[in-house]
Amino acid sequence: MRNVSPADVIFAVAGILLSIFVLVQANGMSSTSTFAKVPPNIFPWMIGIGLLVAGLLLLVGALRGEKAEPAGEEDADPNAPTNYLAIVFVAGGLLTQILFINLLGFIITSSLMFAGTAQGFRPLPTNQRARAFGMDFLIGAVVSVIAYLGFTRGLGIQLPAGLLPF
Amino acid sequence: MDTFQSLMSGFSVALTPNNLMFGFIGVFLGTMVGVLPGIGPALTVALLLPVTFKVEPVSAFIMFAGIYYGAMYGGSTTSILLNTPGESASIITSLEGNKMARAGRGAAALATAAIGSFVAGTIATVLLTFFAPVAVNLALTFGAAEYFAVMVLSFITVSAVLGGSPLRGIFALLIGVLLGLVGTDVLTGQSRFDLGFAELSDGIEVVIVVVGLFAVGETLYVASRFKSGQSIIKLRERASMTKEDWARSWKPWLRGTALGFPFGVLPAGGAEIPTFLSYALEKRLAKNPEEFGHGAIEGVAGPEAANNASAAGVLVPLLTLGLPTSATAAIMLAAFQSYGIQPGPLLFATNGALVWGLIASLYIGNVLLLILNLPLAGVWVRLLEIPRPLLYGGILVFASIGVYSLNNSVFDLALLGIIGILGYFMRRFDIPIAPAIVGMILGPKAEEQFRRAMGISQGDATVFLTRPISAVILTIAVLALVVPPLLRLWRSRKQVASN
Repeated sequence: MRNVSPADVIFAVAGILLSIFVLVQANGMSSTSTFAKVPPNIFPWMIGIGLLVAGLLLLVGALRGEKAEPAGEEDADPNAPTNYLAIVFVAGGLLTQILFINLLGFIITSSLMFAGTAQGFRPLPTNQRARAFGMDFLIGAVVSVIAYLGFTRGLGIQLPAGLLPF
Repeated sequence: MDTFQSLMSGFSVALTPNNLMFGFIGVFLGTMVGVLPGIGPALTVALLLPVTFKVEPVSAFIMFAGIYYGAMYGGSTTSILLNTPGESASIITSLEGNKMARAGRGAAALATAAIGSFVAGTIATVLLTFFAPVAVNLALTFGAAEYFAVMVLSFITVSAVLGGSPLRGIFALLIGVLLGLVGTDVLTGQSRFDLGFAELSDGIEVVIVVVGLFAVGETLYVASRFKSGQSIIKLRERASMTKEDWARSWKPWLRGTALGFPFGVLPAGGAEIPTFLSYALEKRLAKNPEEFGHGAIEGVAGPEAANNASAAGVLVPLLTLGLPTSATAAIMLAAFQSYGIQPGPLLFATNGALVWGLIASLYIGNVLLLILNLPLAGVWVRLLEIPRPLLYGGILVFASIGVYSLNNSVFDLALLGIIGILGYFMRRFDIPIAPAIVGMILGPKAEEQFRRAMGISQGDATVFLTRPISAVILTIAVLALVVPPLLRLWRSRKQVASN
């Protein structure tokens, strides 16, 4: 075994597991076709088999030492190590939005999400974090209020008001 | 009605004050998102989908087309001044364009890109105008089998021909089709992959998948490998060229157009290949090829023209066959569907005002873009200086508004998060996004045509091979999948032999 990347192996295995899920689901579907000559499980079978083959090929490649090259985006360095803390900040912001938007309202959760996401892009020492978060929260609040009023009043889209009176 | 007359009636639609305004909003937003990192035309059109149901289809599509064209212009600004192209079609531009900018010739690079885009965009729109009716006549002979075949071809070109690895492209395509199949099968009432969630029984909204893969996936991924403090080349003047630059640019523009348009039309897979070909051609034809790699203006002019010409070409299969060959085109198809309009040959007969208004708006859009991009180049450049923490925070706020407002549903937001995580892993493991988007939108259409063809043939699967047009298209699809790897194998054998 030369330089096998565990991450690539895990990804290929995840692909294979997904294909098994698809095949099990396809197997559980009705294969009768009264109106169409093609029952509703033909495409699922084809996708399941396709994913299985693709997943196995990815696995073989990964075991032979192939490594996926992370995407090169405008602001991303493909060769940098993964910054897990940054992912936690961004995902935490989004999770706040999902869990509390109806309870607290769009403006509050969006401001929190904005500030959380911004922390993901600020490489700061821990003792400066609270201050930066506070500043970003204020900026996020301005953005969220403008967006809220623009979309609800201007475009007639509904967003949850939550705790705030407007 | 002949084409010219149709086009004139299209101008009468596109030139109404209301539609001119939507066109302007489109090219303005398009240029903006083209310049900004982290947000592109596909995401922008998806976010605007729910908002635009309140306006007429013609106005909405004029705006979408403006975004599509505008993003091409804006993308070249980023790749010239930042050297890290966001779209694959701009990679080539950054090769020479960034070198020019570093040598203080940024204004000329931006000018040849903008004027070249204008020349190519306008010529390609003329070609589109006169080629579309011909394609319509061909498409009118298509039955279900042919439509299925041409969708298979589109799948193969989008996933296997583009990008580095056909395997990873096809993996992405299959994931996309899988997402497209979630929900209740229309023909039989069988629920598929909905895991018992009532919210999934109507299928997953296209907007959620696009916003999840692009906005959320991109934000997670960029945060995980953020590269701060990039050098942006300062440019505060207007984009302009000297006489010598003009003399060196005009032939590459025309050659780039000639390469780009057919690649867009033929579902041969987007703008990447013609930009590469154009670059290689200009290098070969250049009087001083040693300048390439150090800022040769021909290396910006040709590929930029090819990029824009192929963008116009992509609209031919989209409008005449309902066949998208890029992520943005796929979302425009979804937009047509949500208005209850089916793009295809009949669209030209039933919705003439829409189609010709849209085509006419492309001419107007190119003029607007030239005006927006030459004198205002220095203004757009400032967008690159937006602090990234605030930019990505804002992207997520607007992403969640776009998704929440679909059904006022927290379930949709949770789905957005899950698909965003998928988008993160796709970027991390080099799985391209575009095939997944095309697969999600075109997959169910392909299934529909497959079933229709099988129904007509009484369940005889050979129908795809006995109908000549279908057989030819499927053969091309197989060749497109098989030939490139064989060529690579043959070349490496030859190298081994010669060593």
